[in-house]
Amino acid sequence: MMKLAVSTLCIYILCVFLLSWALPEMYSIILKKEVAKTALFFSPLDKKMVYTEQLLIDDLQAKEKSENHHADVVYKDEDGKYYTREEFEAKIPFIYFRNMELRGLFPLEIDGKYYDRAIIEKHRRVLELSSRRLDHKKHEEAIYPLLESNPNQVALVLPADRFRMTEHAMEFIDSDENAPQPELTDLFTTALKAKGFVFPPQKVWGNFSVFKPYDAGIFVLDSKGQSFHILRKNNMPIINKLPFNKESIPAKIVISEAKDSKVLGFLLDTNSQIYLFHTENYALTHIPISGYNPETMDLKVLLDPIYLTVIYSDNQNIHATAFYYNTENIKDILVPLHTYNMPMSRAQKPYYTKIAQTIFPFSIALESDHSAKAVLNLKVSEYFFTYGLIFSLFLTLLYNLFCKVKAYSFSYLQSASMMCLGLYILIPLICMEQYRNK
Amino acid sequence: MNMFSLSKPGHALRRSSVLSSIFYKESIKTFPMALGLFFLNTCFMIWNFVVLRQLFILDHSEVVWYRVMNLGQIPYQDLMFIPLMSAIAFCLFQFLEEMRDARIRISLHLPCDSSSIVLFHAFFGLVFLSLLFSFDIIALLVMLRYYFPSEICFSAFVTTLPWFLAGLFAYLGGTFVLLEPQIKRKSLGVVITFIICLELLSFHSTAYYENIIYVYFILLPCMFYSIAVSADDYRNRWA
Repeated sequence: MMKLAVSTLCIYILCVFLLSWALPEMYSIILKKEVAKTALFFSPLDKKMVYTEQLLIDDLQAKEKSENHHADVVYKDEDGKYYTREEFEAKIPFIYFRNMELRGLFPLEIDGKYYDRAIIEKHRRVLELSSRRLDHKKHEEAIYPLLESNPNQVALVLPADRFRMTEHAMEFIDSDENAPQPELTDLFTTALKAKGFVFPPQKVWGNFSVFKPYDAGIFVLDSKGQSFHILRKNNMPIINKLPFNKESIPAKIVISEAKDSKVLGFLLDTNSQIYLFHTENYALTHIPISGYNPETMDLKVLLDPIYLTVIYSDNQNIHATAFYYNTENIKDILVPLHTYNMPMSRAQKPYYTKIAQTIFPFSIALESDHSAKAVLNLKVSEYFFTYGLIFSLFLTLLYNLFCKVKAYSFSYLQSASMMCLGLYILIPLICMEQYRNK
Repeated sequence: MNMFSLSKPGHALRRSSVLSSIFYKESIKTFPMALGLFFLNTCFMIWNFVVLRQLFILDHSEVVWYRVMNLGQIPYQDLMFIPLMSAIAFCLFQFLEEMRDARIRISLHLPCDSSSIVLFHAFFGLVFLSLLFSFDIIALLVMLRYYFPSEICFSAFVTTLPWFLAGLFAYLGGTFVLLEPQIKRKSLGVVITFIICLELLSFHSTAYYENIIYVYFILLPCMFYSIAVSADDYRNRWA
């Protein structure tokens, strides 16, 4: 009898776990409208933020502006003024510069200065760091290619070897033979040690792609928190220790090589501070933003010929700060010009979200916006203690009425579990119901 | 001498005798299917090796490495549904025949409770499938190690583990469904098995389930033990 009770309990555990994933997931597939994050920009013409987003709730003015085509996409500024798509694009000409050129609007005149396509292309950069792409949130094979920086041809090529960082060496593996390359391993390991590198390294960062104008090499954090730049030129190592101060220990270096750009990428330190990372002397420029949490927020740094805009958002809210920066000397301190925060349209709660939060007391999600790996994410409904409990009580009453449970067999445990677990326990209870009612 | 006459002195001895008898009976019964599955899985792994080799013939090794290590290509992706299909085939072969004309009730008269007897049957299947899947994993890792560094073997192991677990869950779920005489409980078994296999086979990326795979190892004994309910229902189906 005990064995039967335990195995029945096993069925209930399985059902609750699996249904709390499957039912909300199925409900979302059928009813939920997934919308992307709001795209927020700083307009160099109006000196204020403009944005576009997909709506979850109908907006009449958005419909009018779109002439009922893509009526759920709205283009607005921070004062609430609506725009058509073309008006919106004209507000941020550095983003839509190809369209501006096509419409014959070049050269652009902004604050008495003129900008053409060449100037815009020279200064325009987009650097991104999604919370999903943090080192501990994605799976990465810890065996990397070290590209030849001087390939002696137009395009970069993948090397025939890769390296892994071991306890004592930078070990190269030949891909043709799938075997270690002792000569190259010794060459790079010795060069690293000569520069004061202490094995084993903690992290390796780089842009491991050949689809870029040049190769800037890789950056490695050693066991003592010192950062090193490793470049392979003519198959010889060029190693430099980065002159970072002890407070700026990098948590992540995002590299994005661009032609003629003084900016190599950006650096996120262990205190969640962001720095522009310059090619020249590995200089860092602090970007003073507040409230940025890399664990839960996606970050975007936009550079144009006049402004640097930092945009960061979690699942609900988006924040942006625009800075003036000196294009001639980008290492100057950045001066905040304008800051704006707003809730995104995806934070809205349409009717189907409210229904889901009422009928599902909680849900288990295996996917997360903040991780590239599966996570066990238990979300308790916001309405659990209000509408959720009323709904569960209703279910309990229905179950006790229609399953013809006799008064003396009324199980307080069953009712309590149904109040807490709702539909997830009701389904197995109905299916497991048997001889008791005879 | 009848083996069960030997088991009278003690309950534990009787249980172990029953267990060994069931294992003996099941191994004879499922031998052709087991052999067939080993053969088919071997053929499939050879095919997988040919496909893998073809990648290196068509492209430079560094390009194949780049696609696998940086672009997330999974060169052994065809393996995904093999454990599931093997498990379902084995389950059907092991239990479908037993359920015809209620032949399994003969086993249920062994000197042991019906739940334990059915659990022994399922345990036999689990042992066989674990052996089969271990063979698949070892074959996969050996062929990958031939072409790739050891890091890829580790990620391949983590990537394929949910696929093999889906096979084990499908086997246990199939056993539950085949034994269960009540339509409501049978349906629940189908739904549970379908959902868990869907979860484990929802393809995402390399080593996607790395952080949560332990959850399914916790659920596996739950699924195994739930078969006791269907065994009890089967025994009391006309009660």
